[in-house]
Amino acid sequence: MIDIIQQLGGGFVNVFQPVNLFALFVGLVTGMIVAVLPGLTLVMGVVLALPFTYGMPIMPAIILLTAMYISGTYGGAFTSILFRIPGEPLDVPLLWDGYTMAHKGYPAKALGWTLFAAATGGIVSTLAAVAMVHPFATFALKFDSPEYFTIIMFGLTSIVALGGGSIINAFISLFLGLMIATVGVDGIYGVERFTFNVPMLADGIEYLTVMVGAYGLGEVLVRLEKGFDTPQIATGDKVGTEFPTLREVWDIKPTLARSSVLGIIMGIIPGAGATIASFVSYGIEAQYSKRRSEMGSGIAEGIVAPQTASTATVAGHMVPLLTLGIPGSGATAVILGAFLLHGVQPGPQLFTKDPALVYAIFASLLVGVVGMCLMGYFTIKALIKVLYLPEALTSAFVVLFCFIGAFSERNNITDLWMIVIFGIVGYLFEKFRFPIAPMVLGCILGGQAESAFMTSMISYSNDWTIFFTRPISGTVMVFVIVALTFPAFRHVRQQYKQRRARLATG
Amino acid sequence: MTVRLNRILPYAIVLAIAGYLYFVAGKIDFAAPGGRIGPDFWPKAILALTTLTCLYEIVKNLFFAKREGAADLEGVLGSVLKELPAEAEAAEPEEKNYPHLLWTGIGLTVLYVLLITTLGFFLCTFVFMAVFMWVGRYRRIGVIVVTSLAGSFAFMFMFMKVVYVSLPLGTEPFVQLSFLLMRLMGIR
Repeated sequence: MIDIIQQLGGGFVNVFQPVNLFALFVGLVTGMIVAVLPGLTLVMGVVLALPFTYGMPIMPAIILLTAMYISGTYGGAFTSILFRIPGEPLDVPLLWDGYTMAHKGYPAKALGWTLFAAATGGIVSTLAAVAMVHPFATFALKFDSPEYFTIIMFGLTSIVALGGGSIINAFISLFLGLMIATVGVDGIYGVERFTFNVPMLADGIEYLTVMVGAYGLGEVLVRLEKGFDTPQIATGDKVGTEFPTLREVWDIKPTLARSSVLGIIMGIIPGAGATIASFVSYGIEAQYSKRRSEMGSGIAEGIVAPQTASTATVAGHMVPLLTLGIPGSGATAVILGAFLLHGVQPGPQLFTKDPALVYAIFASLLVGVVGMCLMGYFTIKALIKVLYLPEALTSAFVVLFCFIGAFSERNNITDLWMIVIFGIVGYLFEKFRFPIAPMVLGCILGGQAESAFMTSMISYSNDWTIFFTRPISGTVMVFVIVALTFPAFRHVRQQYKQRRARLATG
Repeated sequence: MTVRLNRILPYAIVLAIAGYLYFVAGKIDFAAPGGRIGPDFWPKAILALTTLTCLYEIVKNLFFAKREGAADLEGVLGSVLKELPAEAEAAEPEEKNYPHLLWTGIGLTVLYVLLITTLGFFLCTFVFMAVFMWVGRYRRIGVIVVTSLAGSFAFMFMFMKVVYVSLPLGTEPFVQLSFLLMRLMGIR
């Protein structure tokens, strides 16, 4: 333990070297900007930054990319909470309580909770990753495709709890999302599906266009139909970040604990990234927290859970990346690429060959969390002022961000059409009270779910019981079943109570 | 009866789409080797679930729903609107709807996508932003022009110069304007 603390101390010394500190600063700023810009994904941002690191020594290069990664998990919260545009898929759950809290007139409070959650998730998970790096990496090695599939299933079924008024509508929305994810060339056999001879569809429908179109343009269209007369959400509220009080923090300590642990675990499991952690964490709070019936109405738990979990995954992702050379997410895949470009193969030998680099990365995460929170605090002040701008002006910019963000991904006009189509779909969903979130989640996780399912079926000779008979996947499947049946059970119980109340009152 | 039909309309549409896509999935021409499940299995499974869900809702609304509305199977979360306190709902003024603004907005976005390759990013964005703000009932012409101009310029600079995204330049004669701006911004 003493050895680890010493190594971490050495890591701090390295991080505070001017070159490394500058790389950290640039990474934090860039990550935050990339995450705030809707449509410009964090992974894309890290990819775009990669060429700039070619000429750097490996330490500042990796520090820059990891700083982008961690601040990216936080920066997207601004647009989610203030404008209802998720900067990243992992920010989608922040719409339900973060945006609602802001819409009720407390944007500063919502952002304060986000900052607090990001700081907690980041620091707790980094310390945990440093302390438990070896045992957790060993555990993750036992995971196979059935385990991945059941974990994704758990992420998908958690959406049932987020379905708003109708579970049926939530299911239909989810199935539509899963169907959208099947468009294009399938990953197992390489067969085209639902492309209708349109070449662009062979590459599939980018979840980004679905997400940005349905949430961004769809919301603008809804507001435009109302003549942009939505009351300004910051009116009457003081400008700035309102930190939660100690009492408030104490009240949600179970949420913090659950989300931090979940984030770390999800981070360590390769493939189960910040997005799944964010959704699952929200789903767990929606089903099991004390104030579950108030989730979606703008409460702190709905903000803290996804933000803490998603930021906590970053340090978790570093564990399989550094000890096994396995990237746990798109961003860590790019970071792995940076390692290899510098001639360094991450793995167990890295801890003996270059421990200074390993612990400098963990130290940079800790310093980065503090730095991003300081930046977020000051950026929030500037961002809140944007809320006082006329809605027609900000909406025009929102639409433009949607278009450019989608276009940047593949430089293709077809993606702009997708934005328009899913903008209209988003509007219709709002109109007919279908929740958009399940469709988005289905779209994001659909490909991974299918891949894990098909791989399991091929590997285990079409034996579907494998999801129940393996210890880890079986346990997760129990959670899936509970997640699916609990709302139905609750509904039946409520109906029974209402019927009894009606009978009692005559 | 009309109320019930209106209620089942979205489900009927989704059902029809699911039915058609199931038919399309059935035409995926691929024989999976060694008794494996093929690439059509996953989409067919999802479409079957979609069909069942829609049928459940249609049957429920047609045959079992009371006139004032069937009791929906609700998630643990209620919808945000439903969970608003009664007093908060009452305090909100009645919202007016402007369908013509919606249709104009949709038309504008469609036009933007149609014209961007012809007019080029800068010109198309400038016009789109200015008209969109006007359609959005904002009437300060000076602010509209300056904001649209500055916004288009800033977007172009940020994405072409900083992020290296190749934005559409347009066709002749509009492409000349894009080239001029690129020279001004130092974009090669």
